[in-house]
Amino acid sequence: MNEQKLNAKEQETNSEELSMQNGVAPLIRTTNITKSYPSGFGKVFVLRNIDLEVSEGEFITIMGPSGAGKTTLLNIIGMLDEASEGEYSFLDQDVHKLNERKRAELYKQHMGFIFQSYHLIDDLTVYENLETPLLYKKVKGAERKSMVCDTLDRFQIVGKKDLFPSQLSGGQQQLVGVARAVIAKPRLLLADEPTGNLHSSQGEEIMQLLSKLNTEGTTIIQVTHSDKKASYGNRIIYLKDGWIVDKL
Amino acid sequence: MLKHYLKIAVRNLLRERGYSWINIVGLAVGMACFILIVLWVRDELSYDKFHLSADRLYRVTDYEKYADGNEMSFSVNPPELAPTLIREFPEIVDAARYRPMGGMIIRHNGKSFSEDGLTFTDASFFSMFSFPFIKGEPTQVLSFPNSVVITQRAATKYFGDEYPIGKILQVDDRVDLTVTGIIEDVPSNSHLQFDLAAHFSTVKEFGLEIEGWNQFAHKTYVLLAENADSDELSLKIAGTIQRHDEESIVELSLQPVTDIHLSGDESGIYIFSIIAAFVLLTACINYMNLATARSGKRSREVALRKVVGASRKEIVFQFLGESILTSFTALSFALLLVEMLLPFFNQLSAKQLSFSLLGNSSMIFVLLSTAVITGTISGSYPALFVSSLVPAEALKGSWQSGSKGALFRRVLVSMQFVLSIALIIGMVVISRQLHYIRNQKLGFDKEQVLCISLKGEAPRKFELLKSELSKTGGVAAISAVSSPPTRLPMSTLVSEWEGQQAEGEVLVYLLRTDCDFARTLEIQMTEGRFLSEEFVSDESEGIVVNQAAVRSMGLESPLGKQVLGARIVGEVKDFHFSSLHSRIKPLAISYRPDEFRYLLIKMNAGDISDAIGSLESRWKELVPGTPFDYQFLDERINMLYRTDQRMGKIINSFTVLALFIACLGLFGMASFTAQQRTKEIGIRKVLGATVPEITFSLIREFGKWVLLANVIAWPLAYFTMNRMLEVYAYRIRLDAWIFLAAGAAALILAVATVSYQSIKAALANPVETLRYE
Ligand SMILES: Nc1ncnc2c1ncn2[C@@H]1O[C@H](COP(=O)(O)OP(=O)(O)OP(=O)(O)O)[C@@H](O)[C@H]1O
Ligand SMILES: [Mg+2]
Repeated sequence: MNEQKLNAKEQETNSEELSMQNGVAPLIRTTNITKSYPSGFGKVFVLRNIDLEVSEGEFITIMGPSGAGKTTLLNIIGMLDEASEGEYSFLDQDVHKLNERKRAELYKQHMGFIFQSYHLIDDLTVYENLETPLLYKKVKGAERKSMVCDTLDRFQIVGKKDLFPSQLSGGQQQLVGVARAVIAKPRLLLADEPTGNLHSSQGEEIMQLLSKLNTEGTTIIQVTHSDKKASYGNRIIYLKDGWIVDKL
Repeated sequence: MLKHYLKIAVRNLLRERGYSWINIVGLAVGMACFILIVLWVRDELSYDKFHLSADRLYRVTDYEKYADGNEMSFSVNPPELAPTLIREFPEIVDAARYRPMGGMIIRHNGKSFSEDGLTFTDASFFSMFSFPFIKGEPTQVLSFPNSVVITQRAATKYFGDEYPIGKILQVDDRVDLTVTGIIEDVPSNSHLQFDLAAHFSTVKEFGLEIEGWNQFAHKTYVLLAENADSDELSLKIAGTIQRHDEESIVELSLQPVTDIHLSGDESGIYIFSIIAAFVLLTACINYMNLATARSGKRSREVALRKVVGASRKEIVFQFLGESILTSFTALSFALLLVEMLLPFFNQLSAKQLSFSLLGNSSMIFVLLSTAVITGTISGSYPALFVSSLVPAEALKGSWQSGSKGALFRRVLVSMQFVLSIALIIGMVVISRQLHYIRNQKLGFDKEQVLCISLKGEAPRKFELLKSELSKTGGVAAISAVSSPPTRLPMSTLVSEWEGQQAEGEVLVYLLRTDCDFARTLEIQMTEGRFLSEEFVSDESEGIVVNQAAVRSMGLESPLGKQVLGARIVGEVKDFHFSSLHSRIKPLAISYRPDEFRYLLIKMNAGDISDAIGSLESRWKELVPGTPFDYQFLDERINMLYRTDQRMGKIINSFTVLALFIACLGLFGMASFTAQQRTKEIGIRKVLGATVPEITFSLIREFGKWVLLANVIAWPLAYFTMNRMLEVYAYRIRLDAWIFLAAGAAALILAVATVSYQSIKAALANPVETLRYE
């Protein structure tokens, strides 16, 4: 137990040193992030005093029992949700102080999101689903087209490009979901149980993909319940009842 | 990006066909109403604006206030006024007198026509007003007496293919007019309507004066100098007639020519504009309602868009784009609808409105901005509403569009009902008022009375016509009159009479008729007797007055009093000798055969058309050159309220459309609510609720808001209707039942609309609906 704690401590200093050495601030730094919901006369706390630093290029896994607050934390990091208290800086910008427009700008330049369930836009074909992030990033027509085609190729879903999500299997949908998340080459990829609903071999495929992306330089934070999938990453953060703990 | 939005919008429209149709149909009907009303209002506002110097043209109007408290505004003046105004006021550059004369018979080449479009005017008329000339020089055409300018229509009527210039038209067998110019037909949006304009001095051939201050018979128009101040000038000219005629109490003022058409009747413009806005707003509210209600369904899409990088602004644009697309789709349907409805609307409104977009850039602009504004209003709330969601919540399904938008939607539905109820009340009040007027006791018998106008030689032969026509079968009584009881007779200012209590003038209307008048129309006497052949003196010095005249002159016992150079022989019970828009005015009835212009023929019950046939053939024998133009008196009376009836009909039509749109929206809302509550209803049924209970709970939800809408609509309608009824001297009371009935009607309509969906939802099998979850 003590050793573990020490290790964690060591790791932290190491990464700090690392970033100091490189002379750059960490990609993500949260201080005292707390999330609570009003309940009856008081509130329930879902996240408590989360201090976290993530450097560029890491592959982090968040683990913990159901209801621990993993999704909530990921959503806050991904700016899909707001913390009730605390500070959050991304690329040296204080996210909690930014207005909605600036935050959306920061988000769309640097982040990609993969969900547990497939969450594609039902009204759009595979091609259009992939194209949408590029549209919002204002990527020009020809370039956009080639990026979409490259991605379709890379994920081997060219044949499916004109189908609607309802016409795809779960695994295929998730594949499109991943493709959509990475198409705009995000700096940070957030994945909330990306393989949770998939058959194990499909899950494996996705994990390998993430791992490859990571080696290419994308920072990844994933949530998973599986130790095996956690092993793809290089650091694990344990959450329990909203606290970061050393070990479950 | 635009293409992307468009694609999504189209897919959404297609996927949710039911809602899309409700929105598009509602908006299309709303826009069609709006366009029709815009056309109507534009036409109303365009009157007399086509004259090049429209902003400098004024009509001289008159105002008098009498000792009995009555007052009157009119716009006929003595012939001397026009030249005097030019002479005395440098600000007045030019002036023209204008005197229309109906009921003429005009002959050319042995053929005779009856003509109601003859007018007499000064040479300056055609240089002041801009009626486009086809032949002739505006400043030259009326340069000599008996010259006449005719419209294209009149040219075709009288001359066919002949070349009209220099040809002669013979009026009433007495006066020859020489055609000196041809103009295009007078546009329908001109308050001056004529087909022949003859030199002013010719009017004296028809018994009117062309100089002096005594006869108020001519309209007088003036053209002001470029920078003259009309308000100031209006005050300056006020006493002009009084200065030249000491007896006169007339005060003059100037009225812009462009105001004449709408003077005293602007209410139509306001009412219609308000209705147009109402109807369109109702359609917009439908859109907002349904879009907000459905936003729950789309919250996932919006959240995902935010996830892949959409900013709030981009979401707002997307949703606004969708509503604007919907509104443009609706606009194209609306244009089709307008194309289809325009003939009916023209019939309803008695206008010749035309609708074409080619080259009509202002109309195109109006339409495009209507579509954009409608789309923006409709889409604004749903767009702001849905774009505000937090993606994390929406993806979890905890973003409850239902509860957040619910209050707003209810307020909107109530607003629609406020408008609908107010319109229903308006509809009921107007139709009651029109019914009231039609069934008001007029004080005479209007049934089975023929009214024939005496033209050409007929007035001189009235005695013969009377005696001969009464011999044909089916005639009960005949009387000759100067004007039938639909048309305001001439009037005169009486300042002295026997039995006068105090100084002051009274305006008395003068009806000229024969001894059979009271018998023909079954008019009752309250004192004395009617004019009678048994008293020879009646012919020159007998006069009968009505009760209003006795009251106005303050006579204690009218019989035997000297008034208007005659002696009162009887007092008739007040009868409505003009429209019910005004109170019964003082009237004096006397015998002046040279002024008789109409025959009133009371027919016996029985086969009237046969009787009319024999009247006509006898007429043709007696006065061959004169057309047998007849009308039933009751029809003539109905004509007095033609405008009111027309307005009533138009308002009814638009009310029905507004209600249709409101119900459409309500139907959509009800189906949405039912759908949203399927699960809740299923659980309730499992717990033992009965179908009627569930149906009732759904209906109650809407009913509550309809009731609230009543409370707001009632005072609103009360004040508006009170204003509207002000134009009638005789009007209905705004009884409480009208308001209650309108409220009940709206409630029933709402319940009927909602019931279908509610019962359907209540009847659904709970096992299935719950499993479906
Ligand atoms: N809107 C909300 N109001 C109140 N409590 C909430 C709300 N949303 C989430 N929670 C609570 O927050 C806690 C954390 O939820 P979260 O989804 O982050 O858990 P998780 O760790 O991702 O669990 P799982 O592994 O099951 O996905 C849960 O206990 C949940 O009940
Ligand atoms: Mg989770």
